[in-house]
Amino acid sequence: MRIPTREEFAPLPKAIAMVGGPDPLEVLPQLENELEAVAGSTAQVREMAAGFRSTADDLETEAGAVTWEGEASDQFRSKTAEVAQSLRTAADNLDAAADQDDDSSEEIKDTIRKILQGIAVTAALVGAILVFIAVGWEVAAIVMVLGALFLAIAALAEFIAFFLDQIWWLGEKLYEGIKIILENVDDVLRGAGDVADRVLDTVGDAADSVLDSAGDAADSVLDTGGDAADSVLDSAGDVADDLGDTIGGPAEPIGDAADSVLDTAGDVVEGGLDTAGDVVEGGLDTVGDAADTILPG
Amino acid sequence: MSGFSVDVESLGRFRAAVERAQDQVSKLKSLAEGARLGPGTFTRTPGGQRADAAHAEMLEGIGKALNTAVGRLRKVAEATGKTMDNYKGVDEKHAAAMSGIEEQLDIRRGHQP
Repeated sequence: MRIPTREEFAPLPKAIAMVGGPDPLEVLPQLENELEAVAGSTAQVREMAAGFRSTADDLETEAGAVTWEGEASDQFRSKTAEVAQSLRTAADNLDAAADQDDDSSEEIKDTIRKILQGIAVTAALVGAILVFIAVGWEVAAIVMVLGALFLAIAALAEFIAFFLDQIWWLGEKLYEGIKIILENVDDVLRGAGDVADRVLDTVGDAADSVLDSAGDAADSVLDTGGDAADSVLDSAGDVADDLGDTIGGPAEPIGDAADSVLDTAGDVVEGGLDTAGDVVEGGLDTVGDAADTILPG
Repeated sequence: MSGFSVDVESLGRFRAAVERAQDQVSKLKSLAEGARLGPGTFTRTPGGQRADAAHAEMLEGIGKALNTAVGRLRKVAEATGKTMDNYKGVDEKHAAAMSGIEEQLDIRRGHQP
């Protein structure tokens, strides 16, 4: 926002020089600003907020697409949703900060306009008073006019001071507002951090637990499978013994005995496979349970 | 494949998404840098300087928040990767267990009359 030079408020500088005292126009250099740049800056803050939101959306979409069932997956999705929500809340806070920045910028512009208007009005008044002096009034009248000039300039100084206070208040309001918003962002993201830490810890522990359980389960499967296979082999051995006995018996029952032996052998084979199948399924269930219970409630 | 109810590939896609999120948030830092304003933006009055300080503090806070977010996302990515690796490890152990059982059964079948 452009600030006029002191010469642009003529004849006020001349009047100020005439009456002496503090120069209210010294405020002009202080009012120099780059307030137009604020909008560009806040636009970038809003872009960051949008980035947080799209990151949150992306995370939730991908988490929803993960094929994973059980308690662990529920925890995983719940924690991911918390992280996403914290990013969205942080985004809302960034937008609020940007809004406050923009509002303060506009309010400061308004205040500067009021100051400049006050100076301009005073300059016009002073111009009118000086006309009286120019036309050659009596000395007494001139003294009165100079007194009026002094009062007008003093009033202008008061007026400017009031609005400078207002700019101070606006700056303070912005500072405190931003501080509160940023503390909120910090809290939110620290919450997200806690969530992430909990996910990390829990999933880490869970992963270790899965490995331990899976290791045990796999060992158990191998051991049990070995036992089952031994059992099958033993049973087969018995059948073979039975077969040998039967063959060594009377000739007539051999055919029946052979059928019986073959049936029995078939049953044994099926039984052995069933047993082994149960063992495998049992092992898988054990590991499956371990995977599903990886996250503590 | 162990038949777990975890699709490690889709978990991998999630990890990739978290890594993308890290990159995305990291890139936002350049926006924070670009959003900086010079001194005197809000006038050179004491109030304007206070507003300048508020703006600078806002951007500093945002930068810190971005770093925190990146760090946390990195942890999530690492945790997801670890989970994936562990599930893969479990799958391999299962495969080994199954193979062992099959071997035993084959041996047993070899003894069939």
